[in-house]
Amino acid sequence: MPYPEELVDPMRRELSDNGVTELKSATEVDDFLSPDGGSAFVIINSVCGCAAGGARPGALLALKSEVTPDRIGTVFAGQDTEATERAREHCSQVPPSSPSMALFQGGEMVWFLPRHMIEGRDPQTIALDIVNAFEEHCAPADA
Amino acid sequence: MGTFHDDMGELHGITVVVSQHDGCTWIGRCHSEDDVEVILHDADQHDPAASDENAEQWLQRARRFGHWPRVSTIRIPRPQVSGLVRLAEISAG
Repeated sequence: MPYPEELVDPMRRELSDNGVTELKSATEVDDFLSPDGGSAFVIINSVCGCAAGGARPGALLALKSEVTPDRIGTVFAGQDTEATERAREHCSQVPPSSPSMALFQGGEMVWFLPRHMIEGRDPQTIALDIVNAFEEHCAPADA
Repeated sequence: MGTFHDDMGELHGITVVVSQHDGCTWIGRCHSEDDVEVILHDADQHDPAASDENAEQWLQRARRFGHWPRVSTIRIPRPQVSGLVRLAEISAG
């Protein structure tokens, strides 16, 4: 059962107010992860403060790095069910967890950060993992 | 935005590995643990008698990608537990 929207809204805005595109339907997710769309980073947001409290600031910190994906999006697990299910279909080779994060190149998942690698870690440490993934998968070929 | 349940113990909400004396292993999101039992949500079990891979291989796969949430809730009696660690603390193989 979804949480009350007024409770969730600040957690949505923590990302959307910082340039992260909210994806609320399966179509929006499919368009976002289009194979011809370059690199895309998807944050599977969640209410659970045990992990999500570090996930959001960690992701935002990583987005300040020199190398970032072409597109940054988010779905909200437990709230935007259709979009989350479709995002997970795009990550079908890994178990579902939330919060979690995935990086795509040409519509194919190339990196995944599961929930257990977010839990209990500070935002700076989480951001370092993300930045390393950005540099490995999103840096220009001649860099 | 921080946690809503700070009073549930340090492992509450954390993905843990529970080893049993009988050789079986569970991974799940810890709800609580005390002298009586360990309660996990969204858990998966490795049973060496029923799996083609050994526990180490299973743990390494889970460490890298996470675990499949096949069991909604499992209560493991404490006397059966031989080990309890965070999944994130499992060393890379």
